[in-house]
Amino acid sequence: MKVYIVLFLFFLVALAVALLVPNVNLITNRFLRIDRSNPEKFEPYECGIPKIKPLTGHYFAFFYIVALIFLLFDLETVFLFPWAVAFRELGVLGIVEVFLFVGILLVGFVYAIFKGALKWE
Amino acid sequence: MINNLLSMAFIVGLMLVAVPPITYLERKVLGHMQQRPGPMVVGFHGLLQPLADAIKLIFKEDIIPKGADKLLFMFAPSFSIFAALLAASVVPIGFIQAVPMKSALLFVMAMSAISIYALILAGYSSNDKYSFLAGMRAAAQVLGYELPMGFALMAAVILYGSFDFNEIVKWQSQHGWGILYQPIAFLLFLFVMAAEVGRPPFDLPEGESELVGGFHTEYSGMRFAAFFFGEYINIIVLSLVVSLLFLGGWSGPLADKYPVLGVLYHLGKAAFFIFLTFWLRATFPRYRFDQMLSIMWKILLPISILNLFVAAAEALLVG
Repeated sequence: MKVYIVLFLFFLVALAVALLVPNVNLITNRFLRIDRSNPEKFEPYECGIPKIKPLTGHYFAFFYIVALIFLLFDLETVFLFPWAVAFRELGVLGIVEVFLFVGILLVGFVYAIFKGALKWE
Repeated sequence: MINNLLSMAFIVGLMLVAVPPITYLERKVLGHMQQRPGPMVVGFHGLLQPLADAIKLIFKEDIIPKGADKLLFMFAPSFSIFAALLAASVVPIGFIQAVPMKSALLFVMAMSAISIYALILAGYSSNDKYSFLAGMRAAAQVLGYELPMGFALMAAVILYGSFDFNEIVKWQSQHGWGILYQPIAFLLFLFVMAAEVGRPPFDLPEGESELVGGFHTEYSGMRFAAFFFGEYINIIVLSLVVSLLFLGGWSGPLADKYPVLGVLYHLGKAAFFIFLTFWLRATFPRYRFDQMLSIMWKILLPISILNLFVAAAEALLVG
């Protein structure tokens, strides 16, 4: 219990620091009147030339399938971490079971590779 | 309770105070590795350079680009520092432990993983295509490195049988350093650590040669600096973690009698890994995007999964 109170305090301290540090410029700008605004300054960077078109429309997320495979393996890690901690109690039988579990997932991984899911041009 | 609060103050203070000297050291080390002196003008051998940088950054004009998502734009740098500091909360430095948590390793992993949101949000909210591409790269990169990292740490957890750093160090002081048992996991973790903190050779979200400044193209002043705070705090935290996991943490000669020595051992070991990140930056060119993903998915992931069974066999043998 005590651990979590301290963790919560740490959370608050981290939040305070995180909100303060990046916003120091708000304070200095306000009190020292640092304001030399110029419409050019507020344009997004484009090597000094006018922007041709705004950033709208769609972006081709080519790692969509990668994300799916990632989800699969990430869940695998979630299942394997409890096994890793309780490894000594479970003994050899536990290893065999995990071996089968990982083996099944690896078959899927190899299938994904042969399907070209992990190919990038 | 008082101990915990003092440790908390120490850890937060250390993380914030250590960042400017580390930036100075990085520039100096990089300079000397490239046969140039590095910063020399401000103060003796440029010692006051971080101070000059801080003054410059604090008094810069605060600019939010036109069309940016204001709330997310202001939130992203805060999140970078926030996640990095939370990751630091559970890491013990010698006897200095703010939050002695049982599942500390899991917590560090989770917190350093969510720090990638800062990059994605910064890229998304800047209304700039370079930032946007960098944010997308950061998203793809996290898909690549998170798995080898998880499996590399899992091998270590199998060996030590605990997520608790105290147990891990105790195990190593009885059986010898973890690097002797798990050199593969150690190398995997070092490799993936570079990707996790976004350092060369895996600094794709920054990619200054093709993406201007990457995710922080549109940022200025302390908001810009906040990303570097987050990055360097992450480097410090992961260096502390890797020295805890594989190099015995604060154990060493006379460390039992004088706990302060333990703190120094631990910080010294971590300092080596921080130096290693500078070294990597000077030595390796940046990987191309598809190369990075191929390395992570096709080489590191199978190795790290097979390494699990090596770890299991070792754990059965060692006991």
